[in-house]
Amino acid sequence: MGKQDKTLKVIGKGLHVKDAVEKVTGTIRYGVDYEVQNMAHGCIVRCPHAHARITNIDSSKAEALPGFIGILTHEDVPQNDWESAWFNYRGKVLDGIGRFVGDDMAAVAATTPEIARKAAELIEIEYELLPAVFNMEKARLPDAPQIRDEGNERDPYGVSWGNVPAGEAASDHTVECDIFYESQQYAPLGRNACIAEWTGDRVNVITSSQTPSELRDGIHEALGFPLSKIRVQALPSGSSFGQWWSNNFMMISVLLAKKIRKAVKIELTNEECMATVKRRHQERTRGSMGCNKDGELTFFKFDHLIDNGGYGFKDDVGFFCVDMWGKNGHGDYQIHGINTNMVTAGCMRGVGDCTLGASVERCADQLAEQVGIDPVDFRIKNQIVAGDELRMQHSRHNLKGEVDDYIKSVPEHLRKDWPELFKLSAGGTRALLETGSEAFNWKSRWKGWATPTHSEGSVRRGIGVGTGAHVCGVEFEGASNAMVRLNPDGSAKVHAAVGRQGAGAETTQAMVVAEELGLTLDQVEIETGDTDSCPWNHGSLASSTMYRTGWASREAARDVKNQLLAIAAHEFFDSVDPSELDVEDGEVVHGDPGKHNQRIPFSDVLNELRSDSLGQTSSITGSPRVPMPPSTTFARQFGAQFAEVEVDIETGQIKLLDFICVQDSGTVVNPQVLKNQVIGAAICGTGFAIYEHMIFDENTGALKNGNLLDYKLLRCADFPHTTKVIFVEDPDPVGPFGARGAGESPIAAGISAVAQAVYNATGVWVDMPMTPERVVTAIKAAHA
Amino acid sequence: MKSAFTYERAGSPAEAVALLAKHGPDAMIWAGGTDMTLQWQQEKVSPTVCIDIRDISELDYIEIDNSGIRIGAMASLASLERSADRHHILTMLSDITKLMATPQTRTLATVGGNLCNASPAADLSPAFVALDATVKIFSALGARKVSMLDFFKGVNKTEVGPAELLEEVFIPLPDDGDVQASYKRIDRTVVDIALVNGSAAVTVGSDGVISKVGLGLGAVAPIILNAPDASAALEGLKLSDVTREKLAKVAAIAAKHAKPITDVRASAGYRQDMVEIMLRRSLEDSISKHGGTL
Ligand SMILES: Cc1cc2nc3c(=O)[nH]c(=O)nc-3n(C[C@H](O)[C@H](O)[C@H](O)COP(=O)(O)OP(=O)(O)OC[C@H]3O[C@@H](n4cnc5c(N)ncnc54)[C@H](O)[C@@H]3O)c2cc1C
Repeated sequence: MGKQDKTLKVIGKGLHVKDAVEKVTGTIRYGVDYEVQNMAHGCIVRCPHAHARITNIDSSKAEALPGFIGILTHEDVPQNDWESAWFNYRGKVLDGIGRFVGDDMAAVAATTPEIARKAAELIEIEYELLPAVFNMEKARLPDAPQIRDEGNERDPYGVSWGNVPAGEAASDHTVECDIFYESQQYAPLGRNACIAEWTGDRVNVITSSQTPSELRDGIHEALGFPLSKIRVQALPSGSSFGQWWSNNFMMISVLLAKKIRKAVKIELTNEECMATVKRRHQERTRGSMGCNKDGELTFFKFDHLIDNGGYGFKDDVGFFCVDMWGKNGHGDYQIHGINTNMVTAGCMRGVGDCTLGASVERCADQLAEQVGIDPVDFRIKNQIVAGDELRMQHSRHNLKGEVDDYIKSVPEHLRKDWPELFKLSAGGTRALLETGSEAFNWKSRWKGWATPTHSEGSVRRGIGVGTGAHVCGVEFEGASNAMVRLNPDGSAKVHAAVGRQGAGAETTQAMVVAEELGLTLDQVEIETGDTDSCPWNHGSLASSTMYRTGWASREAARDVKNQLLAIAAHEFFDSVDPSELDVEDGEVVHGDPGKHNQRIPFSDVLNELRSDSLGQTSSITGSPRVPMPPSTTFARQFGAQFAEVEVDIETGQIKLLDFICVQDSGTVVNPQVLKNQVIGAAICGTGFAIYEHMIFDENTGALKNGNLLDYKLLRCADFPHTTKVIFVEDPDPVGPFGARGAGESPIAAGISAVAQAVYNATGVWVDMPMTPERVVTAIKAAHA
Repeated sequence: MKSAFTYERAGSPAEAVALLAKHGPDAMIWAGGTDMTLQWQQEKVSPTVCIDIRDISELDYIEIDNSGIRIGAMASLASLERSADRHHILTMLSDITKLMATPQTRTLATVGGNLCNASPAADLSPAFVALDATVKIFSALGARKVSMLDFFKGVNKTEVGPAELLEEVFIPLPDDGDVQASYKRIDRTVVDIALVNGSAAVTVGSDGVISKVGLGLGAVAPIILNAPDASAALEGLKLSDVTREKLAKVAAIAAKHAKPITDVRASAGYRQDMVEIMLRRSLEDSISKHGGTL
């Protein structure tokens, strides 16, 4: 496939996102904005203890409150476990045990939100207190309080290759690390709400979600009844970063509505959004890494802990950040997922990349310094490029067996166009590093390791570079599907349940379909949230939307096109072979206008369909007709970022002076959308690097900075307004029109760039987040 | 639950204090409402009556005469920001407002509200303390004057009584020579409140001798502190004799007054170290503004 032969008319254009006007004028409706007639309002009763079992619930005072409607307790709830995507949640909706301060214990419904909140305060719950544990290391010990029936620790999960002792023996330099990462909060600016409304034995769920299909699966598991009776209408979530997938409060809404026989809306407060839903894991990397005297990596050995909080059940985080340095032949990577009595932790944008990835980058930088190579050259020397081997994580999830089994099960003829598996199909960091260092003027700005570029009074400036890689979606939990419908008037509708989290998917998916069908963007609309009309889709997660769903949308459009051309060939083009025909500007045309110069509008073809024996339908629906190759085995996205920072070594304050983001996401489908993704990621990553962290009470595990005053997010004005985004486009052999994934590599790259820049400015490595106080403390410790 | 309140509107200071007297201690003044809205939502205050004073335009002014600068309680942070060209002390106060909140919030927020909210981390108060400002408090009995230092009584507590209204802040200007002031704070992102702050105001007489030094320390105690012993250590010195080392010593003496606490924003130790640096830098800056070389 490779480069596109046909000139593209829609792909590559910086078209406005479809919901731009809605957003700017404030008419867009998020979950919190929605209402249904006669609905009740719900409020969750939360656990005040870190770990406790309910012994009695007395709701008499709440019941006496005028406007009180009903209460849902664990006794009303089917005791089934439900799971969110990627084991971001596993547990029962309510089971009478609180596993962190703020955990869901019961829910009340009332006529107004105020009465519901008051009623929740009046529910009197007696608890038997259970021992609690907040530290992952302690939670691993045999005598630790057990938070879950399955035990606190998941089976270790890892990838090994080569022979680590041989790699160690071949090393001239070795570095070790032991780095702890605090939790980042999604810190949504928008809150979320869920409305559940039952009609007979069918339930309709309206909420903001990035993963409508997974949410429907979760409700199915929790309630134990057919998927066909569950409809999810996912609304835009605004920036979500992994927070609003399927969340337990949505399950509670469904059950509460059932219990009170009335539609109910549960709307979370800002504090509830921050303290009770989800967060990035606390993580800890211990490990070592070596290289020879030429700066070639010789081995990796990483043991990495992730804290799942109360209900997370993950056992892995992205290995791609390790594999990006995969030129070395010996490695061992182990992950341990551990539960603690703190709010559930799960995937947040760049899961693993921002933590384990940052550890690997720091170790690599320390090796580069020992060898005396600059960080750009060290990366170029050791990071993979197209054609290099990929070692991937083997699936233990919903896909039966291993990826190899899946591959073998696909008939040979359907595999013949696949790229070589277990090898990087396209891209790599090299071109990014070369392009970026030129744009940043790296060679002349680089003054050496731990050497400021400028020094005056208490101010030190330093530059840094960082890289990030991520998959472009994963197949393990199911293949993302999309459907395209061509309407009688020739306009098209895409049905792809990817939600709308501000990443522009509603626009870029439609662009892919518009391009394939020869339509303008305006002629293609999209349904992103209704599970009653959309086929199963993984949702917007794991950087999969453009790659895996985009592939499905294009294949579905291709199917529509094939059907359309077949009808047109028969009805309008003297039954020529349909492959001689094509679509262009909403019309069917012959590939050789000399033979047939007529142009038949799609609407004419569809009208023929209506009145002809060819079909009994007046529209065409299309779906992918071939299996998608397992993209985890070959597709990656890459980011490289360059930063200059200024550190006040007396106060520890860090200012960002200059930033360049270079991104390889294959073909750029919409440069404005991708630029937004990349800058947003760089800001979010830099925030994680310098400020963002959740502070937990050491005695209760309760969140102490659950508000946007004390949880510091970078604002636009904190980030250099001169930031440049540069695209390097190496088209992908499988992705739609050569596109790959985008969302997660750029968050990782910035983190390491800033960390390295601070090191170069100050001469000390500071653990993240590099708050003013930590910077000063680290500098003092280094000089003590 | 958030309190329910009735809404009243006052057109003059006399009307405002009459309404306060009428409705009793659970009545509260609503100026820009930027602190009030949050505190009410978070149930930190539970007013039963809110008295909106935004109609009292007679308290919305910034005036300068030979004796000093008068800022009406209803002057918004935005108008203070815009007053930069009118006097070099207003330039300095304008620079402070630019650190505060966001343009939207500054349009609503008033100087009086900022002082009456009495946050130990507020940005204007340390500068007003350093500048030796006084405030005018109005009641049915008339107006009384209180020094800025004595105005603050604790976190969210001030001298303003239940049926009183803050009317004005007065910054005295020296009869002889000139005053220069500076303010420094530790913050993180562009929208933040100070983790710790410090301000200095230095008056140099026409003879080139430092005649008066004011210091203000914020976010290191429940109220804004001054440091008379540190001020005294600099007073009487010739501007040309001031050195960096001298200022560092003065800042160190001043910092001893701090009694910081540890909270989610910063540790006591960090605040202690930083207040000294903020004061030193404010002093250096004030001296430089006088043309002193360090
Ligand atoms: C997003 C945001 C960021 C902020 N950032 C900063 C910052 O960086 N630095 C900073 O210092 N502050 C900051 N603030 C706080 C705030 O904006 C100020 O404290 C503001 O100046 C308060 O003025 P107001 O008119 O809104 O007061 P209000 O909220 O109306 O009143 C505050 C208090 O003062 C009382 N009051 C008001 N006027 C009078 C009067 N004339 N007489 C008697 N009592 C009165 C009220 O009863 C109330 O108790 C921020 C606030 C927000 C929302």
